[in-house]
Amino acid sequence: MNLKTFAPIGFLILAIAAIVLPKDIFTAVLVFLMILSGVVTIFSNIDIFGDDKRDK
Amino acid sequence: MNILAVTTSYSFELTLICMIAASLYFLLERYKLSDKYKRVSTLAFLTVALAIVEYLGMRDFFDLQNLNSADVNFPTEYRYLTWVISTPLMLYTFFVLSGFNNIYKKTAIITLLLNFTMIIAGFFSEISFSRNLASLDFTLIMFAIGFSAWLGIVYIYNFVLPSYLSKVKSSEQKYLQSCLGSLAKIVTFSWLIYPIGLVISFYDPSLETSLMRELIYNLGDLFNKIGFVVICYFCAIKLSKLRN
Repeated sequence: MNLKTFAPIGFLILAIAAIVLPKDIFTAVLVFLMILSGVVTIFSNIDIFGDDKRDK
Repeated sequence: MNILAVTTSYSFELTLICMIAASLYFLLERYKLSDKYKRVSTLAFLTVALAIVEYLGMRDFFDLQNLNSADVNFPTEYRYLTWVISTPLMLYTFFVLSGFNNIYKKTAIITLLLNFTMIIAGFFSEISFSRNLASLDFTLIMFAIGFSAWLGIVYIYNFVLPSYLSKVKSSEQKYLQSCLGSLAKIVTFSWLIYPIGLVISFYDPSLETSLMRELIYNLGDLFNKIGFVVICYFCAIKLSKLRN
């Protein structure tokens, strides 16, 4: 099981944690990680760079 | 006004420019698709273009002047107006991509009806609670209806559509399976942010929680809308290459 598989679940958990937990500097870290997991979710599925390599 | 309020206000701007960029991308890169899959690009463009209209309205609504007022207003109900059009487009994009819109019309119609029920029930649940227009019982019943409809969509994307894929040509199956797997995860996990955000607001209507909910909804829209259609679009590119 690849770690990337859990990115959408991480996205959800981090979002809930950011809403529920007290709002402080730790919230900014949670939001940052949430954005990161969103980016991983999308980029791990579109294989944009792999396609370019194959074209060449 | 605090740092959270300002960040939330600017997150509307961020989502807006990302939606504009995505819609231009789908238009400009349309030539990469074969004729059969051009409609995927059209649906992807419409999904993000509608969000531009929504975010223009919400950005103006949720400006710094509103944030400075004693009673901050939230534009959450505005989202439902666009969702009622953009979410069926998103869900239908995979049907067009796989060609299931012609073969399994009944499943496509059920998916769209479930989606319509989910958004309308969610809208009444949100507006009745935030504006105190009806009893809490009505709000909870509407929420339960919307949530059940979402569970139906989750079932279709996780169990019904994968079973249909087994009948697809083997060369296309690999790409469609990978695409559907990602879309099912978005529908199951990323879409869950919205009902959970609503439930949290039932029990914690504080200003900070509401601001954070708006920020999370903006990021959710960003990844759920653009991510969903981008995954479909890249799958369409691969399928177009197969046909060529």
